[in-house]
Amino acid sequence: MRRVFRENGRRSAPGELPQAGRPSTDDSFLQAGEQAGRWTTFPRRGGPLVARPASASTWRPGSVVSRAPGLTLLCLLLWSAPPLEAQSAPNDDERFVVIKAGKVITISGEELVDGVIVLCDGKVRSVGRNLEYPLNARLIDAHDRVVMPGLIDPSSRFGLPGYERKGVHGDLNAVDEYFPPPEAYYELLDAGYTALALVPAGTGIPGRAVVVRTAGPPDQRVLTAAAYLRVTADTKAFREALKKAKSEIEKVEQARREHQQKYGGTTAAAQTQPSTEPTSQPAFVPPPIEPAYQVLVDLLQKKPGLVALIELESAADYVHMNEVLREYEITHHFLLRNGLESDFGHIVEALAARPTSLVLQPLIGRIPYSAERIHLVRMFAGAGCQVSLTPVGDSAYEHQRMLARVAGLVREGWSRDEALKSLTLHPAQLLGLAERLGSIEQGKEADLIFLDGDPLVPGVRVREVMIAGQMVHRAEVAP
Amino acid sequence: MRTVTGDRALNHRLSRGVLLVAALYALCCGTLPERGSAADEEDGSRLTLVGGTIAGTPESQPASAPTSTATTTTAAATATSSASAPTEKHDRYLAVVNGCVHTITGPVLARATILCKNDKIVAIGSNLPLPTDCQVVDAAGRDVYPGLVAAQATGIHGPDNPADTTNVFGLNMNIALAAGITTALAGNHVAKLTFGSTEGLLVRSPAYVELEYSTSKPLERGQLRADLERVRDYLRQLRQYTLDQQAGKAVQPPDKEWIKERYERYRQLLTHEAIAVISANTTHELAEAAELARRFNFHLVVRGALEGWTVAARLGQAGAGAVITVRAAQPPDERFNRPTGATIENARRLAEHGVTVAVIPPTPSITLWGLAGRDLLHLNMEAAFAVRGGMSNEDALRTITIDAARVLGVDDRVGSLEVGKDADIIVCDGDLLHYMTQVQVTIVNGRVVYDKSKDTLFAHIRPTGRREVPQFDDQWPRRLQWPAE
Repeated sequence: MRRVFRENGRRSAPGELPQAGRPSTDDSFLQAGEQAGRWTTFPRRGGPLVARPASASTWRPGSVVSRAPGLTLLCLLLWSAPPLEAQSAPNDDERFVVIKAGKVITISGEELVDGVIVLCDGKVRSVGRNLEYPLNARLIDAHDRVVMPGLIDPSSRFGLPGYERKGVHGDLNAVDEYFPPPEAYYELLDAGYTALALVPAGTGIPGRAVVVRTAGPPDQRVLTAAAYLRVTADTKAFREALKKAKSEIEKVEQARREHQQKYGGTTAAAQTQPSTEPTSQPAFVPPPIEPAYQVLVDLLQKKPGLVALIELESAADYVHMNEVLREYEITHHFLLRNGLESDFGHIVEALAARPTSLVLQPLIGRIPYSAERIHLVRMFAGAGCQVSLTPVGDSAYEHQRMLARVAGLVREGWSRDEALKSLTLHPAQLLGLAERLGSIEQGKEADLIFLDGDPLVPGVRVREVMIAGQMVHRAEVAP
Repeated sequence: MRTVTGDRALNHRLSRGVLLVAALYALCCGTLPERGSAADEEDGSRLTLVGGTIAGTPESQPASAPTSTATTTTAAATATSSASAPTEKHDRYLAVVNGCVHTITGPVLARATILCKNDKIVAIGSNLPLPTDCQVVDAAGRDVYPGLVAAQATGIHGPDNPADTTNVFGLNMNIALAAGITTALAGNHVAKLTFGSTEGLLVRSPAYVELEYSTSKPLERGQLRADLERVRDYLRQLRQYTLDQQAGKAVQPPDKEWIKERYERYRQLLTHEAIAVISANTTHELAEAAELARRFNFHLVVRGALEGWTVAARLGQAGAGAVITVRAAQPPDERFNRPTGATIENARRLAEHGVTVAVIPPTPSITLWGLAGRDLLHLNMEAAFAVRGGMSNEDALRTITIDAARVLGVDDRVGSLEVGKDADIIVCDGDLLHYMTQVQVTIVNGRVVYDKSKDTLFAHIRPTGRREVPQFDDQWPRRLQWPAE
């Protein structure tokens, strides 16, 4: 039996009259979309999006663009337009959305049966059971759906080509690459992923990652372009890069000292003094730092919010990288490429003793050259590491298998709570987005997925996806 | 190379398992000729340990009258000397107790204890008092040897800089440790097999200055001789300058701008800071190499030395070391009216003439082409083949321990069990040269890095370590016809 959303229409406060000229329910729109053979978003009522054609308001416009080439230009124009909603303050009754679901998995708190989530401006206002909400709020009754935060992939190159790039490229960012069209993310939405960190390709220090949403309004697609710095398991390159960065810092310090010796006094005073009071003392201009090393300089200087994600291919890589990290203290996390056969079991205790976050693949592998199975994810999580999970590959198929794989890990003794956190909250924390994503809490953005059952039960399917408070995707279920 | 005849004679006299109080006391107190100023510090630390944290003797200590006298004297003497010695850093202690200790450079000590502090051996003897927090490896009924030294090896450590590139959790390192190897030549570095860490991995870097002195390249030969002469002249001038300066004369120092790159390497050779290695196999090439080393007086190691036995005396006179394969096979060349070809007696002949012989397997790498192979898995069996060629057991053991270390220039740190040396120890279930012997425990830098009973590698092979050949029925393939009861 197919379950569709039914919006029960506005609830009017006593005494308030329904506004004329406005549909009282979205069902008609929904049905129209279904009959047309494609799913479109729920339109936000009252906002400027309503004025658009339905095809223009969808963020999965592949079919729209291909079928209606005349609309393409309009789409582009609208996408490039400034956010209209921000300019016009909507009325109170349009800001509130209430979701009722069979179960709400908040991740940060307990799981709420028959839970209610109140959204305001695309953000979670409150979550709980039997909540009070404004009577004029739009109600989404999701019946027995299970609602949880959208999944986050902490490291991926989904849809991006590979490069044979080497060396230090701290000035590069994956955000500058050519991204695939939005419809490429359809399969990720189908898998329940609402955000993913896209990393630059190559070895050495290829650059910084960008965190993007898989759908949503264009101006909100990029969550942060200043995510972690990717560092691959090349000890020599890493050490030399940090050495160079340190010499860059010393270069600036040397120039500062020389400036002080030459002109005396503090350079700070020289800088703050404006040109209104002309002095013979010129302001200190630091020598330029090589752009490729700027981010490493920032890392060494402990710039807040900046981390390196160090990729490890084997346990020995950790030993070698640890030597470098002992020499140069930087904020870092590790990504462990644990395939089906890996020796990371050797470093569980060593990694548990340090305050780092780990990214692992959801696999139960074997100890190399033996038939002994090893549940690395459980070992690391049990030892106290904060584990995030990333799919085994960059393919959409692997993203779609993710919940099943994690279910396998839980079946083999891993904690369910940890497993769900490793898909949502922990990646958000790793990416520095814990204030915005990763759980259903007050103030966080409403990037939610609606499942037709428990997320760790085989056969479960992501049915609807909401990003920034808007329904952006609905699974096409075979008849 | 350094002459070893004195040591060796001592070894021969003492190595029959005789426990001599004097020798033991000498070992305990660390009166070793190689040790310099560091010896005093080591002694001091040992005294601190013994005096500060005496926990009493272990229960299974043997009652050995002469040795116990010596050690109790030591303990009593030291207990008074260091009553209060606070240790800021937490020290690691490890003791290998009750084993038959083959010190290689000294006697064989029955039921003796080796006590290690951090990465060094601090005491060897019987009835040693052990500190409270001491990790104990019980070697009762086992033979204890120093860790083996592979004078040539590939595949254990990583390329280039082994401290950065070695897979310290790798299978190859694990297998090599199971073979008892604790130190190996990695590229041009001498590196230890520190499983699971890179701490103390590099021992000597670079290991050698590689010289090209092949008869097929006369121009390079001439160039090398000319360069060496030039550097020798410079060193003579330098010496003269120093003497003149001491005499108070006003003199100019010799120009040293050009002493760099290869000249710097040659300078290190001629001042005995470095060791030269020359690959040479034929009689002629070996004789030429020995002549060069004798003329310019540098430490020489020849690689290969297939026909070394034909010029053993000349190599010995040059004080050379040799890295050889005992089982090298090359038939004699009938065209020459002189001895040619390979022989299994090569190691013995060379050692008899004072050449420091290090034995390596025919394939100096880790391969899995069969259990009793020709690779580093069976370094000890390679030494046993030298015994087949007439070498004594003691000398054969030296070819994979102290002499191999000497060839690599690290004999001050590894290669024998002596106080002050690195704590690289292997515990075997029998005579190391026996084909059935397996390494039970390997200790590198005072840490247990291989334990056969716990490792998945060979734990299933003779798990008890007993020597009896298993009954037929226990073996695979089973015979078709079962014996009648």
